[in-house]
Amino acid sequence: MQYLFRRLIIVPFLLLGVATIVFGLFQLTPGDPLVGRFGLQITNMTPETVQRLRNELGLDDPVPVQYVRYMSNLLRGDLGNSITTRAPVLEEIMARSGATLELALVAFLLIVVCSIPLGLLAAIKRGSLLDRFMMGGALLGFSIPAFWLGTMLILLFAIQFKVLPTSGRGDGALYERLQYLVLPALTISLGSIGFNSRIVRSAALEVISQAYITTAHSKGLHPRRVLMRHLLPNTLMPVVTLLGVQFASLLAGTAIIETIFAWPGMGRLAINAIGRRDYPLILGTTLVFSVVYILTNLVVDLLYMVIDPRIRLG
Amino acid sequence: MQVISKPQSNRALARLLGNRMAIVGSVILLIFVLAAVFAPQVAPQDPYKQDFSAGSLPPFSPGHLLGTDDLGRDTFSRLIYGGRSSLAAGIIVVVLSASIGVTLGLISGFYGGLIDAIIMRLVDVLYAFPFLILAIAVVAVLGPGLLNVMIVLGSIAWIQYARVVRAVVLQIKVQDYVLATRALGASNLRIIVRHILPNCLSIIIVQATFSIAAAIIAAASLSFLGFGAQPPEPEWGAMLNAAQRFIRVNPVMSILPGTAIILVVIAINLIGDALRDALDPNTQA
Repeated sequence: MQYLFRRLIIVPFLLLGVATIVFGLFQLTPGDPLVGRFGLQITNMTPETVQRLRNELGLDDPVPVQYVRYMSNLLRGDLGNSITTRAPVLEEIMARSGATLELALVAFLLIVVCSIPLGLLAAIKRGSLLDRFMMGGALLGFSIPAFWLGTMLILLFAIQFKVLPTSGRGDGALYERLQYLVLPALTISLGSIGFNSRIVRSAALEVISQAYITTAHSKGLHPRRVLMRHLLPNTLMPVVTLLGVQFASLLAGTAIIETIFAWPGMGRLAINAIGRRDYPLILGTTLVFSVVYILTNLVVDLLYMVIDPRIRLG
Repeated sequence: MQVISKPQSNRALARLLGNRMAIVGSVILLIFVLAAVFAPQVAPQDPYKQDFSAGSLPPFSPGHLLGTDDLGRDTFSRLIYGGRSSLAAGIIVVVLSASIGVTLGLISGFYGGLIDAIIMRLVDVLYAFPFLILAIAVVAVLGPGLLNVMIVLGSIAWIQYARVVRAVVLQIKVQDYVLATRALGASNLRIIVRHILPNCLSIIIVQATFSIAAAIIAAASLSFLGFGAQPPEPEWGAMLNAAQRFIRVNPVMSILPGTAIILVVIAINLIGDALRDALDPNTQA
């Protein structure tokens, strides 16, 4: 219970810290916010109008006053308006969240389904050709920059063999949508699959060396039963936290992949906003990504508490 | 945890040399480092020299071992010069982040109290940002450029060193030999530099090695997005960015810079694995 309390109490402080840093970045932003807000209209305004607008928006207020206003706006869910579309930043982001969530979920599923069996297999057949081959593949997997892997997959499957679409997000039947999902999801997950299988492998090796595994074997249990009842659950404990953190970074970290595959998600929104110097949108997405990241990590910690009695009771 | 005293470091070196993968990694890395350092001597052509009569040549063309890009610039030469930017980015980011992180980690762990609380809360908040997103946002505000990318990556990545070093310091500062030196009248600075820092070294070295690889990928990613090195500067990420438009007609332009990044990153990761096993036998899997 104390753990839960400690974990929950830190979240508001993290959110406050994150918002403060984003506010600080806003202050460093080059250019006049008025120009951003009204564009070229501003050149037709009288100096009096400009000054009145500055006063209305509080741009000449002392920084602490602006800080308090920024924070209270945030609490009301107001992240400002996009310079390019004039729409509220939060609206823009929410409109793209579905695509990002979809991609992250599919990639996460791939990671879980592939890395756990691969890592376990490598651990059980330790030192075999299979083990070495897989560990080599794992090293390769997390040494390849994702953006390059994406380009190569497009080159191979979309341009050379023409079996999958190069980019975009299908909107037709499920089958068509899956076709668009394959390459970006694969690009995101391959590196993590490599990394995770190594973690699963070393976690499994640790468990295998424990006395209770030897006991289970020597009392004549079927190897499959040892695997399912003893090895798997104890291996998964440390892996669950890792997977959770990875899911959090998947939600926030697909920006580059979304850009390569023209996937209409939040990350691409942010990257495009940078090209247009749309600072409210850039910093708004940064803030939203961080909040999602913090909250996902919190949920993971709570889940971990549910499955690991040592933390729940300790 | 261990001090790298002489006989120990010899043993670590012996373990390192016995690791075949580490040797492979070191040789690959050495080739890239030498090529980068001696780029003006090694590169057959000027990496900026355009030749429109010889654009998009395939590899093994006469005079152009790896072909040319759309502007007729020699790809082999650009890759060699690109290694300079990428390797420098990796090293500068790590030197910057390690010096900030180790210093703050030592202070935080050794002195504790308010200063510890302040530093660690800052670390918590920076950890709460997705790394690349924060880097992209700050570069967006500061403006593009490889130097800005290095500064931004370095000033975010220090948090991992701070956490790790602080944890080691907390274990060590209560050891008897530290208390004994204090009883002998050693100053705080002397205790930190002579007794605590050496104990953190092996973990810092391992962390730094992997971080170079990560920093090279991060810097290349930002350049790929157009926020890092700007054309016509030869840099692997920027070259990949430029190559994107020609993926259908000249895919080699995309394949080669990526291969260079992977080779360097794999080499560094192999060395990192070996270093970890050599310096800390306990974590051997």
